Amino acid sequence: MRVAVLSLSSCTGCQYVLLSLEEYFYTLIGENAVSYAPFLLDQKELPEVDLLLLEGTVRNGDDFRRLREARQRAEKLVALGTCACFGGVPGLADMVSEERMLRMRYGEGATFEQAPPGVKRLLPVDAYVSVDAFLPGCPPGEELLKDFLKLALSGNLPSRMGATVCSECKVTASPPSRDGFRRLLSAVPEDGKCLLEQGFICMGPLTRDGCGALCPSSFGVPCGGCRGPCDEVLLPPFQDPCLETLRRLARATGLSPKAVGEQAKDPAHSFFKYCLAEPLLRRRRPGGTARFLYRLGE
Amino acid sequence: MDLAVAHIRIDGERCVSCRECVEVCPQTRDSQYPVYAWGEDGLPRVANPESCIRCLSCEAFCRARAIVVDSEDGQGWRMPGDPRAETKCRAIF
Repeated sequence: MRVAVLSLSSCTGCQYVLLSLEEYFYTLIGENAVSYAPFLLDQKELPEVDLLLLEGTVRNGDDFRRLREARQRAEKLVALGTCACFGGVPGLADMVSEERMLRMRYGEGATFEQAPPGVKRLLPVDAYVSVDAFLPGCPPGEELLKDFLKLALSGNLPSRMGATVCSECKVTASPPSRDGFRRLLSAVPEDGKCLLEQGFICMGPLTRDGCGALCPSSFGVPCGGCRGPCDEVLLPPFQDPCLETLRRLARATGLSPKAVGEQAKDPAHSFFKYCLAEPLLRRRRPGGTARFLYRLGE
Repeated sequence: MDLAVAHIRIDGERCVSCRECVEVCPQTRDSQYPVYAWGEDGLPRVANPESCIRCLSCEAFCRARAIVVDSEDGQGWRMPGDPRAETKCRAIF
């Protein structure tokens, strides 16, 4: 099978997971013809391919042109990584105007005459072209990517009935500690106890599974939601990540949801860090992502 | 009106014992015939499925997606969603 890896605006982290597949990576390049992969080969033009792994988002017109060409030349297009699937971290740029974002990043004295004009609103890849399969993750786990590639290279694009990170978490929920709302910066989580019940913002209940819940169960770090929202967030009854997490935190801490909401200083970064650009969440009322987005012309 | 008894399935492997299903179920708290009861193994147990009013609260609030409330024919009571969302959810690995 002819395989290619294309990168739009991204950190290229998802490409490098391919390198960390170790032995399987040699099998992959041995059994398949990898015809275009900027991090491996000195090939300038994207040829016609059977399977294209696409990472990153459309940030400017150049990205859009490349994406359109890629769709024409690829038989099957796979959105690799959360940026391509849900907009990912680059989607957070829509919280401020483009001018302000560039000033924040490059300083007050910078000039942007040469900069390519950016898109007015950042969107996941499937808003521009049709996508045959999605593999979210920031980056996708090695085992997950290996399983996906094994099935995809045999000719069948896989999908799985997603549950949530909680269903994979090794930690059993204990009775709420009622210590109040806590942050990782100011408190150390107790090992072997559910982080949500300890008062930390953990997005496990609303995040797609498949990562093995490594962060909450092995490293004691609350889930940030890097695998993107689960089916229940995208489909009816439309759970809102912000309200749901505040409700669970209120239950765990014994405070009112409003009091918890006031203590969660940055709701967009806490609850929609990887999916702020997803248009399916923008429409949702109440508590959708629309209130966090900078509106053009205001 | 469909008066069939709801088929409630609990996946013990997914369950994290947070007790939310028992708390949110309107037919469990202060009910003579509660839908859910807390089992001795630390998992919820369906005690009286005929009390279920199919509000799907337990299914929606379950953080581990361990509960499925289904009809007898296995079709469930799903609301139709956005076609784009359904297509996307079917294609995600």
